[in-house]
Amino acid sequence: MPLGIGEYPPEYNPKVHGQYSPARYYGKPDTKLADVKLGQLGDWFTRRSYNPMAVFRATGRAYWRWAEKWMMVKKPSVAPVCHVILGLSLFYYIQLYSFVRYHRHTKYHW
Amino acid sequence: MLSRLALRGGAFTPVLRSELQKRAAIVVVSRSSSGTNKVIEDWDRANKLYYGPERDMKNFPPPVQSETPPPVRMGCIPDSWFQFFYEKTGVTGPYVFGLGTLTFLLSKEIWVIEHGFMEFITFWAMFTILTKKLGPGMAKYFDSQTESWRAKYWDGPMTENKKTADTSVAEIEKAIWREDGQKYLFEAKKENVDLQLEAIYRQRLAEVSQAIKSRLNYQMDVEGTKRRFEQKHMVNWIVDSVVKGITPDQEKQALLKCIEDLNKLSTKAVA
Repeated sequence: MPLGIGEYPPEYNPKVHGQYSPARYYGKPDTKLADVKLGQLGDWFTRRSYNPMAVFRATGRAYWRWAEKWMMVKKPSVAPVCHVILGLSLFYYIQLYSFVRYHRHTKYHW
Repeated sequence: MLSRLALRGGAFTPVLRSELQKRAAIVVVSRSSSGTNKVIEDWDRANKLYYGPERDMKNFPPPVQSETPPPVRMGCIPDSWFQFFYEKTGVTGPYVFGLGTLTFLLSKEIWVIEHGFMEFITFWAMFTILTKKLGPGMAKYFDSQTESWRAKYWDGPMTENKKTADTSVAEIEKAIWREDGQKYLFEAKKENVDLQLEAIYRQRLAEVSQAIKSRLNYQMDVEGTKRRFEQKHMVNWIVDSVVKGITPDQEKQALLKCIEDLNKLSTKAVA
């Protein structure tokens, strides 16, 4: 397949990493976003890859990480439902923001 | 195959059934042995691939399904976010940050208060109330469902398979033990046959010696009879010749001699 669709990431080696986890990044790990100092944030973002395939894979990993943590447990709570609802509200709010703007009460804000 | 035929035929059914039941487990194992071998090979290959010497167990441990989701505050905000703020700003930090952001969004009318805003509040109010009211019951129900599902499709079949495997292993071990016994049985039978052969050999030896002895006895009897007959014949012939050779004169003389002797004897007796 082109672009490695449907294949394991090239860094994944079953002999070292064991069974494949879709939630895991198998490349060389960078500093976690939470541990990055504010001044080095720009550097951190420039080190990221903005290749569409890499972005797609990162989104997939994020989804699996979230799902493994919140949904694929033995006794799940209501929290993932809230996450999904909040996410959808935010998504549609942003989508409709150009219309919502007309309902502003004040003309000048800055 | 033959046993199955006989079972279907019904002729030997009562005889064979007990024996067949004993061997059923072994038959099952031997019939699916190629599939079992394949499964074992696959497991070995997987273990070699995933748990070889190169495996980094420290950084890449096997995944474990956790019991509950991570702790949350206010219904759905992960506790780890609050912990992230706690290290830098203390307890009130995250709340200040959240409220500050909210105030900023509202005051700059990025979050516009329009006709749809009430929906947000009412929806979340209803959501909270329903979660508090119905949540525990639903959690209980789903947990029990999970338990029963797990028992039905995971633990139950697993224990059942283990039990089946254990019984078949025990049956096979028993069969092996029986087969080991066959060796002694064979030896015993061989010894028995050897004993029989020995007995027949001895019997025949006895028969042969008996036969020889009887033949020899016959020969001896023949010899004895012949000699006795010859002797008798000889004696008769000699006696006859002697008797023939006696003349009437000689007879008279002998008779006279006898009478004389008798007389002598009588005188002697009188005296």
